[in-house]
Amino acid sequence: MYSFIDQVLDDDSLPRATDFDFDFTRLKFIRPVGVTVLSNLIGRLQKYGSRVTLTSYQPNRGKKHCPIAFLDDSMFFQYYLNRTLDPSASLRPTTRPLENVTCDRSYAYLDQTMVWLAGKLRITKESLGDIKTCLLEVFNNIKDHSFENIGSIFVQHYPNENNKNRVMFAISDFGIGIPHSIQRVRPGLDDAQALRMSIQEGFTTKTSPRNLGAGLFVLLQNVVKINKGEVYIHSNHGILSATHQNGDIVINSRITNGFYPGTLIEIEFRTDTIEYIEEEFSWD
Amino acid sequence: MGLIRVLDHVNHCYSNDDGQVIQSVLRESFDKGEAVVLSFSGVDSASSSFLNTAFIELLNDYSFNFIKSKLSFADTTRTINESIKRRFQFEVNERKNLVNV
Repeated sequence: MYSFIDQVLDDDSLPRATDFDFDFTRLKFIRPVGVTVLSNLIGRLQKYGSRVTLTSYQPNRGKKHCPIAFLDDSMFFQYYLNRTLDPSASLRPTTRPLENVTCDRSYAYLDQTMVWLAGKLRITKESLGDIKTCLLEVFNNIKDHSFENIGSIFVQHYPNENNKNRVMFAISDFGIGIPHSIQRVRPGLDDAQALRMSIQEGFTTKTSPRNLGAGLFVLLQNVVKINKGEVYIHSNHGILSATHQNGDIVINSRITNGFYPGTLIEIEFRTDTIEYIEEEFSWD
Repeated sequence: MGLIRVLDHVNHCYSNDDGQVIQSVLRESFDKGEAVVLSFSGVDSASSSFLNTAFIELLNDYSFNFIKSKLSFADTTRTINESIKRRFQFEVNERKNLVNV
């Protein structure tokens, strides 16, 4: 991913050329997160006036894991070429179509997505309130910190992968990135340390006077601590992972050689730990 | 004690702006000395931005004890309850630490 981005964007995250051809003919495999990164990258190039063409072969539907068929069915080509490569391409029951979602439309988008997911899991939409809250936090984070107003999002349900029932959300913006935002107030931190700082409850860069530094903390609490899922954050030269171990959140962060111009958040929820509990409120 | 339904005032509990609407409604009641039960009926999620603006900013003008005596919640979920209490607990402690410093 990093080397691909580096071929396209320079050190200032600006296009290295005015014309690009993305050649998919040698693509062997693509993960859901790759769909969002590709989408964000093309959006970035178009924003700065570069022309992007896409070269691909026709999807081979006879092949079990044809990446072009996956991209076509995810509506990637529909989004960027205004047509699918294969007339029979259709959204797979386990995915939501790739979308570039503006922050002001994010609530409606997430509401629709929860209706879709509730149907897949045969539970009520209300049961997915915690998952929805996490995704609201991600979009609020984009709005407050990235200096961008749009996130590429792709959602895939894995009903039975390694006997686990999971849902993966990949959301990416090409804003300034979390480390860059934090280093403006904490210049001594490297990108991995900055990512660790960003998840501390109460730490805020005060890009808005109303920020109290709770969003990413809440995200990790809800996904990892309560749901026992996983979160991966790629931003600038840092990667942070948050996984569940014996009731606690295990955090790892490291520096990468490559550079992610913005923030990519992968959230993996378990569906067997989703619970909806109405409870009487008490201050005690 | 007046019952106020959140969704009578906002469409969702998402942004700071949504929170500001609820904060203003609460202030109006508090300034009259009235207690409020805030109903989350029909609400399935509440972001931290909403909670911070709707409730935590009240600490700028009212003590935590006053807020606890005048504000309660109904039709909530365990997660929303825990989020509200956790945000208050953290911010009240932060403010105490600031005073001690």
